[in-house]
Amino acid sequence: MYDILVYATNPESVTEIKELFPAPVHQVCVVDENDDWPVDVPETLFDFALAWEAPVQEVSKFLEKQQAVGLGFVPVVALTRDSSEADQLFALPLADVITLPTPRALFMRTIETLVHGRKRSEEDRRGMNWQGSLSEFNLIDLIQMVDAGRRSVEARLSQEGLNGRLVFGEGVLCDAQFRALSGSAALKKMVFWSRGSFQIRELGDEAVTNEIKLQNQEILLQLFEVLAKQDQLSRDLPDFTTQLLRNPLMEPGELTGLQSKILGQCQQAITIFELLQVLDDDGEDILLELKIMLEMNLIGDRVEVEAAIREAAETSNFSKVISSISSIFKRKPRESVVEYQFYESLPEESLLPLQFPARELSEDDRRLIEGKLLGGSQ
Amino acid sequence: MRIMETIVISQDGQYQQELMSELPTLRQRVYGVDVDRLEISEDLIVHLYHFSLEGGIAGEILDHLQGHLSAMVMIADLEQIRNQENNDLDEIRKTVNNVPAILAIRSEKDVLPYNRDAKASGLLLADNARMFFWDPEDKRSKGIVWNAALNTLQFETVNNLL
Repeated sequence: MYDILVYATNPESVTEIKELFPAPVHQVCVVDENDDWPVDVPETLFDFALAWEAPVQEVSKFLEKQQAVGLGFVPVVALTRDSSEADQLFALPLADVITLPTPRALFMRTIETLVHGRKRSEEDRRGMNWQGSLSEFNLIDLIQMVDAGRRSVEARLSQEGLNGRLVFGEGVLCDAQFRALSGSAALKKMVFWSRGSFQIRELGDEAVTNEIKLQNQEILLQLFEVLAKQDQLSRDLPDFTTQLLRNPLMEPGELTGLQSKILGQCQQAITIFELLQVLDDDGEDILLELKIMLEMNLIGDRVEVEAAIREAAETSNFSKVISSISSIFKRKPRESVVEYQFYESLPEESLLPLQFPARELSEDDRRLIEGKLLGGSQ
Repeated sequence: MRIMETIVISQDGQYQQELMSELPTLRQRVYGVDVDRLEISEDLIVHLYHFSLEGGIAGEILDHLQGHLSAMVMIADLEQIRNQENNDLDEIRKTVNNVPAILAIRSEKDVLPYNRDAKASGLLLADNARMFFWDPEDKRSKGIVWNAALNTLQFETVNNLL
């Protein structure tokens, strides 16, 4: 399978290229305008590029653009029908120039030699000392690759300030370190790293002690299980890049030890990924507790929590009034008994006799009152 | 004939007019106090005695009434509640703390953050006291205040005593 970057301005050429390298086996990315490349082009690791029947000047621009976006390491093959243009193309830093028409088999052999010969030469140059991106080779890939090489190496992994170390003895993973964690616990944290870089260094004659004491296949099975479990748990959780924040409007009550640690970390906004890395506890346990705490609203999406805090602040004065008023209405014992004073005479305007009110309301009374007050006031 | 006596307290009497605008009452004056007479039925009458905090409330009258009161309605807006001086409400409530009480807060529509349930049943202040919000433009909100004062809390209190 090849990832191919194609510069072609003729739609018929594009059709032919896609027939030569059909999807989904091969991934073909076509640019037809040097001034406007798709945004995801620089993020793709292409095996090679084709400049298909493009004028020399445009091929030159293509090469410049390729360098500018960081893809200068991708070999470019230019194809042309014009033999005089072929001579000019050879002056450019191209991997090869092919004059059309050419037999398909010869063309494919050229490509194959170009791609595989490049990889072999890279390995010969550096042996097992090499570095790369975790986005291309993650922990599982590295274990398998070192296992295949049967070498004793040290691998240093890093991602956004996180640093881990692996030690292989003759291809067998013997030790792993991440902060204070070692062995399987460290591996279970590093297996989720996908954005950083790694460096591999041969250890030569350095002695390697096997601390993990498991075959690589057993380790890989454990890691696959960890990945599968997290994938399952993550379905009920926000995206791992979502920032979480403690909700100060909720009283936590009794918390487990891990919940307390999570709540402590969430005092400042923190992503789920960061939480999984900063806590030494098992990732599965962390995710399970996270799910509970999200349901209890003890923590939440930072944006939503901040909005709730703002809303509460706007109503805080109201709440204070409620509290003070409520205290007024709580039953309090009479501090003193006031003597009843009789009025010796009633003022002239007194027209309504006072009677002791009946404190018993029947259902009929209730309906009458309700009807009078609500029925007529709607 | 049964009479339910209710005292209605406000800062200066202004909000009383608005809150009672839909009540078919007949105003009288008793013991120097404005009293509105609301006839529920031939057998059941409500007297609403009006007092204003600004004018002061004679302790003797309050003490005279408190033994007969069925309910107490205090009308204000939030600003008045916050700014009340001399803890007037506190003193009044000490005197009549056994009477079902309503604190009726005048508010513009949808200004305060209360939901439909709070609108209909009020916010609990104590076991025999609730706070309601009423909008001078909303007849039903005003009716809910009076119904709670005369009916809901009175009935609940009575049922608790029986």
